[in-house]
Amino acid sequence: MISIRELGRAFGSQQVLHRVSLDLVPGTIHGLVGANGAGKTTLINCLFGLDTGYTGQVRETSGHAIRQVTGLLPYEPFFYPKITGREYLAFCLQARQRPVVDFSAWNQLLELPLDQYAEEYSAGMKKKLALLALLVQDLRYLILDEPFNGLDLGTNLLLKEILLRLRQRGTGILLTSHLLGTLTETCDEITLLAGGTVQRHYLAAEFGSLATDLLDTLYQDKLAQIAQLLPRT
Amino acid sequence: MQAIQHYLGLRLKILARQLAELGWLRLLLLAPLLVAACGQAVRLIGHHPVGQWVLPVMGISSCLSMHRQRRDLAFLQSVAPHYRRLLLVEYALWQLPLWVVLACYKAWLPLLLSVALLPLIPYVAKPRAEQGAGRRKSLVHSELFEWVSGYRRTSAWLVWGVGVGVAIWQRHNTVAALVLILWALLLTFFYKTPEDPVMVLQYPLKLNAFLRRKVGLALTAYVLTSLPYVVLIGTGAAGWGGALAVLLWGAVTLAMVVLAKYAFYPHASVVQVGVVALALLIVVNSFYLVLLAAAFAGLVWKSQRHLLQYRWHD
Repeated sequence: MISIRELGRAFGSQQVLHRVSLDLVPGTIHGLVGANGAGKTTLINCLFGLDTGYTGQVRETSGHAIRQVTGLLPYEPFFYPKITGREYLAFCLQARQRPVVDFSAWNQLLELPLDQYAEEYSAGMKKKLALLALLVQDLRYLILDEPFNGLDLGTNLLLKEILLRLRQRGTGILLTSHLLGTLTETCDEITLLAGGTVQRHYLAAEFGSLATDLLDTLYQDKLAQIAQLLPRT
Repeated sequence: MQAIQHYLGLRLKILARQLAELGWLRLLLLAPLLVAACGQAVRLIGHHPVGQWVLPVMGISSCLSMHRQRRDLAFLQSVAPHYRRLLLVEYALWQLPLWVVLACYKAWLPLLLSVALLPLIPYVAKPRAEQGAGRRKSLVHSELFEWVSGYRRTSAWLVWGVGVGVAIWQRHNTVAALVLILWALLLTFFYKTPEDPVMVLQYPLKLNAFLRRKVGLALTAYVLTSLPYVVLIGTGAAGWGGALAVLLWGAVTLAMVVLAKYAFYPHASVVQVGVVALALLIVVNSFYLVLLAAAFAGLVWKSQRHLLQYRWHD
C-alpha cells in the first residue's frame, strides 16, 4: 500500500497542500477530484517523487521504492522529437531494465501508428501512447492524471474496462478526472481535494452525495451567481 | 548499465535524425566551422593559466544551464528509476572534450574541479515556473517574451550589472569589448527555445513583417542594453569606430540567430550554434566574412520559405 500522511507542500508563501492523508491500496481504484488548482497534480508529483520539497510522509508500506513499482501517466506526456511510437515504448521498458515485448496485441486495442513519429500524433493519440507504455509493464501501482482527457468515446469505454480488469488483477490505481460519472463508475473510494486540503473521503456507498456536496460546499456562491445571471422566467 | 546504453542510443538516434533533417550539405559546411571555432577558442583559452580555470567553469555552468532547461526531466524521472545515472553519463560525455583539452595542457587541478562538480548537476532541481497570477503583462512581456524568459533563466540582469561593473573597473578597451561580445553571445541563448506554433501562426502580421519585427525587436533590445559597453569602448583608446564595430558584430550574430530560429523552426539549435561559431571565426580570419554574408542571405531566404509551412495564410 502507498501511504500518504500529513503531506504538506508550499511554494514560497503559497500553501498548495496542507495535511493531506490518503492510502492507495493494491487492487483498488482511488479517485481524486477537485477544482483546477486544488492541488491534485502537486499531490501526484509529491507522491511519485517528482517533487521532493514536501513535508509529511509518503511511503510504500512493503518497502519498495515507489518509482520502481509505480507507473505515472502525466497530464501532458512528454515525447522526444523524432522518435517513433514504437521506439518510445521500447525506451520506456528499457529504462526500467525490462525486456522489450511485442506491442501488437495491446496496439490492436489502441490502434496507434507506432512507426510514425510520436510528435506528429494528435493529443488523444499521445495520451494513448503514454498509456500503452504503462499497460505493457506489470506495475503494482498506476497514477493516472486525467487519463480520459482527449480520448475518443470508444477508447474512453475501453480504458474504463482496462482499469477495472487491472484492479481485479491487484493493481492499485490513483486516478484524477473531471468526469464525475466515470469516477463513480470505476472507483472504490474518492477523495475530494479543495484548497489543498482533503475535504472528505467518500466510499462507494457515499458517491451519491458527492455531486451535491461539490455543488453545496464548493460552488454555493457560483450557483447563486448563475441564478442572478440567468433568473428563472 | 544497459539502461544507460539504451538512453545514449536513443539520444544519438534523435541527434542523427535532427542532423539529417538539417541536410548533409549544410552539415558538411557547418561541422568543420564548428570544430574549427571551438578548437580555436579552446586553444586560445587553454593556453593561459587563467584560461585553464575558465574552461571548467564554462563547461560546468553551460552544463548546469542545459540541465535546468531540460524539458524531459520529469519524463526521465517517471520512466527511469535511476535517471540521475543517465544524466551523469550524458553530461560526462559532453564534458569529455574539455577534459581532454585540460589533460593535454596538464591542467590537473581545473580538470579535477570539473570532474568533482559534474556529479552534483543531476541533483540540481529544475526551477519551478512562476504562477501566472503574479506575472506582469506588458508589451515587452508579450512581444519580447524571449528576453523576459531569457532574463529569468540566466539571471541576465546580474550578468549585465557585473559586466558593466567589470568594464568600468578595468577601464581597458579589450575588457569592455570582451564583455560586450560575451553579452551578445548570452543573448543568443534567449532565442534557443522555440515558441509554440500557435504564436507563430497567429501573429497578427504578414510573414516578412513578422520576421522584420522579430529581428528589429531583438536588435533594439540588444543595442539598448549594450549602450554602457559601447560608451566605455567609445570613450577609450579604441574610439567610436571600434565600439561600433563590436556592436555591429553582436547585432549581426544576434540577427542571424533569430533568423536561424525561424529558418529551422522548431529544431534550430544546431544551426544556431553553427551561426555563432561562424561569427566567432571572423574574429580569427576575415576570410570567413564572405561565408558569414552568404549565410546571412541564406537565412533570410530560408526563414521566409520555411515559415510558410506554419503561415500558409500569408
